[in-house]
Amino acid sequence: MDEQKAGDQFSEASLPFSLGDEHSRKVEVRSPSRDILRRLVRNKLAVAGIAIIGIVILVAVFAPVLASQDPNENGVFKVFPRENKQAPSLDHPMGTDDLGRDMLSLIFYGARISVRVGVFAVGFAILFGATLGAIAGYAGGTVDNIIMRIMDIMLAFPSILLALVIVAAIGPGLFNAMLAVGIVSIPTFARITRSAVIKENENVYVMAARSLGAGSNRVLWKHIVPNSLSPLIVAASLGIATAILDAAGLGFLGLGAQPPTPEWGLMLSRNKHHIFTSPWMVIFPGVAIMFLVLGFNLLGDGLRDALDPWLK
Amino acid sequence: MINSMDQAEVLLEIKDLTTRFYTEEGVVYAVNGVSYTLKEGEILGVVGESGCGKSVHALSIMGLIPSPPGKIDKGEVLFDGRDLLKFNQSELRDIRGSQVAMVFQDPMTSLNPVYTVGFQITEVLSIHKGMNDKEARGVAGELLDKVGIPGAHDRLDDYPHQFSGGMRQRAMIAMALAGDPKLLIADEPTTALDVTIQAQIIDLVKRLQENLGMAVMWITHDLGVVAELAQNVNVMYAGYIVERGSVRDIFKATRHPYTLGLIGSLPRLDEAPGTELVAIPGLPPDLVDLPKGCPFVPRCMYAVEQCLEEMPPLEQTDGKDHTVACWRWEHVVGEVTADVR
Repeated sequence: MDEQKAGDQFSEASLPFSLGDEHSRKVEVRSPSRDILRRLVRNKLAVAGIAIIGIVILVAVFAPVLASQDPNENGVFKVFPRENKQAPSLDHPMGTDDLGRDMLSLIFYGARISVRVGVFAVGFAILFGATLGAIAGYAGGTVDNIIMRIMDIMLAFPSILLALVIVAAIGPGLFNAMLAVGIVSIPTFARITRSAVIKENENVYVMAARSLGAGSNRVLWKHIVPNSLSPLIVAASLGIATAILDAAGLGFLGLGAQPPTPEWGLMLSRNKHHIFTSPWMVIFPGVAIMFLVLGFNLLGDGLRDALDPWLK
Repeated sequence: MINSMDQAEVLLEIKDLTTRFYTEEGVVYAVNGVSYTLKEGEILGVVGESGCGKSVHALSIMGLIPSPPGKIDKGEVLFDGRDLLKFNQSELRDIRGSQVAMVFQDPMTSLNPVYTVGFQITEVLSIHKGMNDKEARGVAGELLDKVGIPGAHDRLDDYPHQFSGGMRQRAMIAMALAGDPKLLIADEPTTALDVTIQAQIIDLVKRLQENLGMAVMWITHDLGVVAELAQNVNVMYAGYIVERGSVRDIFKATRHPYTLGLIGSLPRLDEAPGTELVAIPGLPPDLVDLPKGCPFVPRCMYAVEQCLEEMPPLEQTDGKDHTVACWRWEHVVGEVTADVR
């Protein structure tokens, strides 16, 4: 922006000498998203977050190649009784569990589940939360009141408790746990979107779009919502972290993924009795959860700084 | 010019337009029974201080009053003989941009920051002319060129933040012209710009008006701009039109004390350097708590008992089509800034 202004003021003709080709080139076209990406990449913590998430996603995608054994080959879960409860070694870098399964392989496969849980739950929450929030913020009045009071009621429950209730109602299982975590996150996204939409709605460009014949649908979805995305993107990144934790929590309580799914939370729960005798069975799944959640939190913080450089 | 004006068709006729805002602090009487006509191809200046109802009256014409809390309580806005206040939302949408278009005060925020300038112009073209992307892009380039953006076709893919304030206002004007409106409402379009750019924008609108023959309503608090641009002037105060006439009448045969005060507060080239500008004493009235009589009374040096009792109607003065809302207009003598001082 500053370069652009400077460019306006000093046209080359007004200078007594030539600046040469180097300087007479048109200022490079920079879209706002490019600027944001640049700021994000400059932030070391954000890059660390991206790296962590990148590693986990790679592990999730290439789990069958990386893992030494498939914990559930052909849907039958394998047991290696002679290798059970082995401490970490070269053969089993993270040891083995009470059934003799390689912990590292379990964690690799668990990455698939956790990433999927986070993305699905938040995707679901954004789809409904952002839509409801945008409608509430734009319509105002009674519509706003009805939608937001329902959201308030949902927010009045501790999130894990509400998720428990939902899972109890629709039955335990990985998919239902994802759904429950998604439903629980709806109000957060509704609130964020609503306030962003209300703020954007005040802008002159909204009035200008209306004055040129744009209807309500076009104004809301095409003009206001794209401008309201920044807080939503930040919340999504942080929300994925929370969703992974919540899903692991449900798994731990036995209401999420069911055995033999190699879900990290479920692994913690199943192995908790062995914490004093074979701590690696509990430590590594716990570290894996922490690692991935940390990644999304770092990315979320970095995104917030990059999207809103004035707010720190 | 004036003669050809007389034969022109009436484009916009406003009758007793009354807009109020029902807020928690009380009812804001923003526009109080405004009536006037605007002919095809006419340039009308609407003048007044901040908060005198100029912008609200323009938004009322467009049906863009935020409601609630705003409400148009009374009146008719006849555009080409049809009352816009009776239009439903979809009929209004068809009018906006294609019949009446508007340019706003702050060019920095009136373009959507996430879309390119070209996209925003083509959007209007696709709404009103049903053009496909390729056609619209060509026309958008021509429009940007018409409003004087150098290298127009290459700048279609620029984002608003790559444009300077003056360029953004030009781009806004291009958007407003995209639907070939018969009336362009310009709501203080030059207030946020520096003086040289201001002059360029005024010249641009003047030239476009001559070429395209549209009517222009120029809302401003700057009498200098009005003198340069407009044929007729509405002077507004506290939601009323207090004086209306040709530019000549308003400046040379002023009949309202408020107009006189506005003119007196302008710097003049022919006065001695160092002469102090005369400000109108006091503040505009609180629109929530309007007095019974003329709202200008507390600031008026001509006021008498009657002014406190009753709001004067718009009356014909000695000038042709020159009307004024003042009980004592005959005592107010125009062109005499010295007397007021």
